[in-house]
Order: sequence, then C-alpha cells, then structure tokens
Amino acid sequence: MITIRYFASIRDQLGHDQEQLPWHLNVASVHGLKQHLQNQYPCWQAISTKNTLLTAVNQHMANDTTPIEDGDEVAFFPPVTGG
Amino acid sequence: MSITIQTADFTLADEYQALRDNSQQIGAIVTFCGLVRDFDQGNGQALFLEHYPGMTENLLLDITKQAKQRWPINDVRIVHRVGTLALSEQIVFVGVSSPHRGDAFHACEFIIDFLKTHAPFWKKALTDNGEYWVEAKDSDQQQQRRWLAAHEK
Repeated sequence: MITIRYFASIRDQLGHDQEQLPWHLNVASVHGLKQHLQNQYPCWQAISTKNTLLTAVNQHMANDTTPIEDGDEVAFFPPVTGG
Repeated sequence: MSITIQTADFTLADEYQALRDNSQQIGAIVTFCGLVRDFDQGNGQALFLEHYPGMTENLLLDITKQAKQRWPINDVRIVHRVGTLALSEQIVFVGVSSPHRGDAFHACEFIIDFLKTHAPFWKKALTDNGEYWVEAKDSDQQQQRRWLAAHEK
C-alpha cells in the first residue's frame, strides 16, 4: 500500500486529507500516481492546472520522475507560506 | 539546538535565556520574531496555520545544519506556532547565538528566509469577507535566492 496525503488548498479541493492505494506498477513514480489521480478525480485536472502542485515522497521533496515503492508516503501540497 | 512546533505562545525572554545558557563563548545573540499583521486592509481577523508534521521538523533541522556549515554559530532555537492566530500574535521565533554579531545576523536571516520558502507550513487568511489560502510570494523566493548566489561566489 502507499499512503497519499493532501495539505492546505489541495486537501480542501479534494475534500479529504489522506487515502491509501495498493501499490502497482502504474503508480511506481510520481508521474504515474498523478495520472492515476487524474483518472480517479474529475477535479484533479483543475487542481493541478490552477495550483503549483508540490510533491514529497517519504517527506522529502520529489519531482515527477521520483520512484514510489510499496509502503511509501506521498504528499501533495501548494507552495509553502509559513513564517 | 531546539526546534519546536506548537499551538501555544512563546516568550522571547525565555528563548533568549535558553540561548545564553552556560556559555562563555557567545558574543552575540540575534533573535527574530514574526507576527500576524493585518493582511487584508483592515478586514483581516486571524491566520490559520497548518503544517506537515515530521517533514517540517526535519526540514528545519536541515536548514539549521546548513547555517552551521556556513557560519560559526553556537546554538539555534526555532519556535513556530500552528493553529488559529489573531492579529498581532506571534507566529515564529528564530534565535541564533554566535561568537560574533555578523555571523549571528547572517545565520538568523538565512534560517528565516529558508523557513519561509521551504518548510511545509501553510497560512489560511480569515477575514470579514470569508477565508482564503495565502499564496506564496515571489519576494520571499528572491530573498532566499540571494543566499544561493552568495554561496556560489
């Protein structure tokens, strides 16, 4: 299984903060997982075009080519605004 | 070194004292506090701050280590609050102790600049006219990039 977490405006637009997904080859990279989410959520296209979407894998910043392995935690969030 | 994410307020004097403690090598302490200002021309009520637990602490630790590699500093303390914070409340504390003031000033500014552009915190603005997520500012990115350019020289 992989755990997917959503923060801030991304979470608000999706309506939930976390979900689990069985790992399979189609979601073995950030790019693959984004494709999967786009198929699953009609609003994903709007979310990813309207927002700059950042990704972390196992709490480290990632990009589209970052691999995802079984058991990983993937997070999607907008640019940070702390401080 | 101390990195704390908390909902409770902090006291500048306590943080300052903790930085002073038990060292005769410290010649300078620089502290920075960030506060909630009225962000919406008189309509702002409060900010709601959330973070990514775990990743935030690790990232702040990493930023602190980078600062220690660049400047000779004795200690660093960071406190960042989350939850709902009213106008004029304290959001963040960064304190650095060092033998010399120049290094302390630089390291403190470096840490807050990288915190603002890298640490996974998000602000939601609560106003008289509703609420919205605050967008990241180009000026913060530019501020942070100065340090990258300075490092390459």
